[in-house]
Amino acid sequence: MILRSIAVFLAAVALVAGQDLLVRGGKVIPCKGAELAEADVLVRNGRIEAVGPGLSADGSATVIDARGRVIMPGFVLAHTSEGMDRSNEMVPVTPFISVLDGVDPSRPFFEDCLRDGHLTIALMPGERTIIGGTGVILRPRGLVVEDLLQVDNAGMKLSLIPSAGNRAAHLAKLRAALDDAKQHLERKQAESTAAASGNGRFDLEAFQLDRRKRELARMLRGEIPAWIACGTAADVDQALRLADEYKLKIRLVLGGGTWRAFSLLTGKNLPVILDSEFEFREQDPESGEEVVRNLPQMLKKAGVKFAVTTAPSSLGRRYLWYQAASLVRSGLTREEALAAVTCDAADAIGMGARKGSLEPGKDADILVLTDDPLSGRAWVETGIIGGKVAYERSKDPRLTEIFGVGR
Amino acid sequence: MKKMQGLLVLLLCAAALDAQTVIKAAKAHLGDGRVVAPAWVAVSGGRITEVSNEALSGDEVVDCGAGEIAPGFIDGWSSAGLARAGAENEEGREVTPQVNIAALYEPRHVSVKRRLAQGVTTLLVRPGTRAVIAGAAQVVPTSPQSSTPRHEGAFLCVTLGLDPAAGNSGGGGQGFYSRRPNSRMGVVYDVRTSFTQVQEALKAGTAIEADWMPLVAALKGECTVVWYTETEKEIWTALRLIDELHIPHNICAGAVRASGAAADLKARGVPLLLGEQHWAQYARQRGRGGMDAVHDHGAGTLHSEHLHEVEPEVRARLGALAAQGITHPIDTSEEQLFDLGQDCCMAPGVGAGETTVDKNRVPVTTQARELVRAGVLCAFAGGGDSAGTHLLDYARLAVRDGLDPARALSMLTLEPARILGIAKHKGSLEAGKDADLVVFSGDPLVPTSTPVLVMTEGRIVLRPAAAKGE
Repeated sequence: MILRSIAVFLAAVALVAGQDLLVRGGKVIPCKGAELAEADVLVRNGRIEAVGPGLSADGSATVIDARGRVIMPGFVLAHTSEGMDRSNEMVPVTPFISVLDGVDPSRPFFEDCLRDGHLTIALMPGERTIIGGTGVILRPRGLVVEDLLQVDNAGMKLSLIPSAGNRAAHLAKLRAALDDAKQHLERKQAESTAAASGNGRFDLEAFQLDRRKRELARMLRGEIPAWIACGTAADVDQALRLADEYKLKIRLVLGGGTWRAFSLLTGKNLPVILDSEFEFREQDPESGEEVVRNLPQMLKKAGVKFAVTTAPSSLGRRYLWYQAASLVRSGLTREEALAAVTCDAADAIGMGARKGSLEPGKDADILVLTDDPLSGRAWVETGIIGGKVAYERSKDPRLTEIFGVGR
Repeated sequence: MKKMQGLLVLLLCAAALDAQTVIKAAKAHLGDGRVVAPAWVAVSGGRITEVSNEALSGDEVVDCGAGEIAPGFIDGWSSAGLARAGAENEEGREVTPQVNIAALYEPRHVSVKRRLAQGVTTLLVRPGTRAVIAGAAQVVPTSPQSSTPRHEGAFLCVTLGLDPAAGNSGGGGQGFYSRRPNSRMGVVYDVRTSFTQVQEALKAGTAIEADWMPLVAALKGECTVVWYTETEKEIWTALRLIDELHIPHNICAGAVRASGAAADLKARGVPLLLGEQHWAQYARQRGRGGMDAVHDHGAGTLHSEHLHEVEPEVRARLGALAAQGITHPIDTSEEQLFDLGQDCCMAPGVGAGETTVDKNRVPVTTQARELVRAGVLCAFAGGGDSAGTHLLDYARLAVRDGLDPARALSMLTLEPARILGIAKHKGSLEAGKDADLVVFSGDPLVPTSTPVLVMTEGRIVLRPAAAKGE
């Protein structure tokens, strides 16, 4: 009997250990630390075990030959509202909704993410809102939304971009909602203190908070961050004020018009995500001439690390590798450009401990590329998510159809 | 004395114009597939005088270091410089052959300046697609200093497809607001009737109104007809009309599934302008595959014979559904199919819409390879303003999709020049041609490279910061 249990246990262990994977012999771009001309990446239990030359795995490990290829961490898409039927509710203050209920894993968006190596996706409500609801961190592989889910409730989306063009009214509505949730939380807290729950542990569930205000309350308690979309420099200033006033943990999602406020971000070490268009164009009101602002260059000068996003309907900007190449065009170094779509992007979405680089202990989200990511010619040959092969270009039905067999 | 001064100024101007400028770079892509490295390009009087891999001397030598030179790019289907967007057609009538878009073109418009900064030196500006016979398109330089648009070639734009019918209401044929065309058929009817009437008048020798003369020119081969063909369906319609009406010079401008009509384009010798914008627009209208494709195509998208392609889990779920009496998705209605999709196949790559490949999602960059392989003369066209939609991005992404790099570059330079009939002056780096060129910081087809110098007709309009002469 005991023997049988052990056998079952061992079988279970073997099952887990059997997931070992060795990506062998490619040029390794770890995105943290120096690039290695020819090295291996060893994966155990869904995590990266080691990175370096001449690694070996036991016989049961899956070995992926990456000779002549490039090995790098999966790209991190730091902000998107794709993959849903609608990016926002019609009602502007909806802190109680979650994008999770809008995600449709059959959308081509996820298929494209997998094909393009965007292995971590921060999916947030869109910008046409005041308080848009909560977002999630996903991976582009799975049958149902639960399979895709990496982090539920990754933050609350706020937008300071007035959809009707009235900033004062927009902000008043936002503050009213925040104040209301704050008062609600304080009242419940007072009731709970009166009831003297004993262990002193603060449990939101125990408070029986209004379901419609619970997530806002969590945001006000700093348990989840506020992702604040800013369109102009004044919005950035306002976001910083709100953070201060309500003690919010914030992540900034910046449009091009915010460039004048970049200096406000110097030294603050805030997570910053830049919109997909890196050139901001303004007309000089006097001369009528167009002035082009190089946003990545200006952020770099302000000493601000940042992540970048994509524009799925664009020809080139839909790819994070293209965005990284554009950053080089803007004057960033190769390392800085790649960081903006990998490790810095992971940091910006609060996933820095798990994603964005090839380092021991991190999730084994690994890409094998046919070429250098900045060459403009690279395709994802193999995509590995959590130590499992999730994508193989040779078996991609759409590419097979488009390019014919044996391309 | 005053006369003398004038003469002196004139002489100085002539000297300045005849001064020789030499551009030095690591490499020159000539546009016809050839490469010269290292490269010196000598320019004088607005023309290229010599291209060499040995040092040339000049009054000014601009050293572009590791830069690479390409001919100025040519966009053969552009709406840049049309200051009033949305007013690109005279919408009072469906047939307006006498309208010339040049009247709307503003060479100093910011959209033209943006093209120039990307290295686009020549455009074919075209009217909008809301009219059936929309009027004349015009070849223009993007440099505002350029010596007036050269009247090279004449182009008459004809729109096929649904754009001219958009917004028209049948209204039962009653009332002021009722307007034709409402359908593809109506559009084609207008094209055919217009040309046939002119043909009959020519045959009978009767007088033809001035308004209709562009059609006469098209029939006589004095002007090229540019057919706006949004999808392969319209390409076939265009080819039919070309045969039927005996129109000698033609170009198709369109992209969606164009590679499907490659053999027919090749057989008729009709060149194609490939533009992503058409595709993007189409994709927006029709949805982008997935469940949208299911809605578009109705039941039947998820064919049972494709089920072997889907993953075991999905198959298992479909099996479970089969046990509930739903045997094959193909037998179900659209609504049921949608529910089924919701229920059973939500995985990327294996969803209901994914079992068949939606051809609408095949971008022009991929089609380019197929069209080139089939021997169709084609060029990229319709580049946009922002990064990721530039004309050059078509070529860059087409190379990623397997197009030969030299060919990709010629599809921005010599091929469009040939298609537009301006190859005598434009499209390649060759002695005697207009000095239209762009220097990139590296290989133009690598997306980290950026334009550092743009020259149009011998004038430097964008200059490298680090290399302001010697």
